[in-house]
Amino acid sequence: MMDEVTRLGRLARIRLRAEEKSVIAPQVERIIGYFQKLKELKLSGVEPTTHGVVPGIGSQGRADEPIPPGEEIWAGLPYLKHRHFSAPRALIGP
Amino acid sequence: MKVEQYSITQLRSSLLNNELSPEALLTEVLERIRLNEPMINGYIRLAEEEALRLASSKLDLKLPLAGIPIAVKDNIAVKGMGLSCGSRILDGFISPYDATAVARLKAAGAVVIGKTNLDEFAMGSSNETSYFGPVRNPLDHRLVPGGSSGGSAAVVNYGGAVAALGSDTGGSVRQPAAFCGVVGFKPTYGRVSRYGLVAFASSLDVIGPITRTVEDAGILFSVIAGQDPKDATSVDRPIDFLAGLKDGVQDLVVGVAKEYFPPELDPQVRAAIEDRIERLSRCCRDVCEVSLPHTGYAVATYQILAMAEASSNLARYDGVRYGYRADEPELGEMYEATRGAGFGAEVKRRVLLGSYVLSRGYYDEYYLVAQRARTRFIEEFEQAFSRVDLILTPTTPSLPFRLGEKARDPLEMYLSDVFTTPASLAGLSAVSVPVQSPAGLPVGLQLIGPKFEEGKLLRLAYVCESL
Repeated sequence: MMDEVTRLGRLARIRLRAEEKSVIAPQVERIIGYFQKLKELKLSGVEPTTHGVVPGIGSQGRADEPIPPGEEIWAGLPYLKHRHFSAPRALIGP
Repeated sequence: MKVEQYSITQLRSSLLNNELSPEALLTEVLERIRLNEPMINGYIRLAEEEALRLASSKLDLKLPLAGIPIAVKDNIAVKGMGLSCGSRILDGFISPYDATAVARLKAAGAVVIGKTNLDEFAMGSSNETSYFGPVRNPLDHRLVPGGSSGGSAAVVNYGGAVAALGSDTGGSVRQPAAFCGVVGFKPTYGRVSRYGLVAFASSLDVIGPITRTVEDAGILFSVIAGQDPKDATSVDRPIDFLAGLKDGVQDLVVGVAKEYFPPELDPQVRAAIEDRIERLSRCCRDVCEVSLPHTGYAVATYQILAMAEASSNLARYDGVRYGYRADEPELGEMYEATRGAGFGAEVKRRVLLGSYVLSRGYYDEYYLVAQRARTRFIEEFEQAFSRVDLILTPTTPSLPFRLGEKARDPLEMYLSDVFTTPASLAGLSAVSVPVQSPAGLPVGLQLIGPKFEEGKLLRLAYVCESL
């Protein structure tokens, strides 16, 4: 399970320290083991509920508005430089 | 004045009759906060100055919440206030807008007094996973207040707010309400706009009120409910939850779900609920047994779906645009270091598990199976509601537990939500009403109603709170 947790950490982009992995691995194993409980259910032919637990929702349009327009939103962003996000380099050159 | 003993209805009456001013009420509440917060830790931040300014301004006292101090869980946006979700990763973030539920509270005259503590990103049942430290139960400081809206439930209990907003994904309004001896109400999914509620599991998340009385829950709900063009999952349905609240329940058939009374149910909880069932049977048309045989599969179904949705929703926290950012020279390393240091242990565990159940080779085995199981829960409740009007259960299988008691065993913690997750999976309305065990300990009585039948649900809850 340690290897699996390392893989999941990479997948989820979460850096995990070695001691964290040793705590999380048995917990993850036990929880996944608990999830196996669902195999007891007879679910063949049952439609999955993918969305809309309540009929009629999710089928309407949403009003997309810039929120809030103007300076307010820029003021709360700490990593802006000239209205662009400043971030570390994505590629490290030779 | 013992502000913690007054309901919104009583305070509104005093305000309208000039027996009390909004400033005096707020001062009382702030005094409770000063006395209790050093021990309880229910608030992450207060808006004392703004609240005092508003309370001393010319308020229209005819508004339904005029001058009423209300707390908001810190995963719901309040313009100009910090929004942390109890996490380091949102360090320094200030919300530039109000959630629709908050905007509606403000329009109704409410005084937003502060943001309450919660389990990090609303993931927890004990309020021990917050970056800002655990919340303690005001009824006994050795005990947890429940979670994830533990801060909201705690401050309503001790008088640090007259009412509060929480959010309920798998029981996060109802379970802390049960542990703190207050009312916690989860409306039908879609009734209250999620705009401005930080997403944890979008197909389950609902904003709900935590109050001292059922009537107060109805008042708050009437204000925050209703369709919102900014949330495509909000619905356009009639809103009239308070009419008939006090009309009695002689016409109602109440089902008692037998699977919610397993042998391992705490005897104090069992005694308290069975006593209320006995008393209720004299007030309503009939009380009968119903069966919800999938109940034992609710936690597994819920956790798979909620973790999957959380792993996707929390992908946005990467340190690029706002919040905490780790100092790393390369972008990919910065993402991983930011999320590794910014998220706490419970959030990491759930995001990892969510990534697992969605990953190639496991999707069909876990996620798809859970989606199918969810259909079963919906069908099972529909079948039960063809026989009864409402369903009665305990809110929790145990009394409030001690701080640290379940912190090392996440699975045991998840299982404490076994009675609240089924209604969440089916998108139903449900409310936890406080009752006392024979030993005087707080117990929650849960009522579950069909979709959009909140009026009927609150009518029964109103009777149950005075049994």
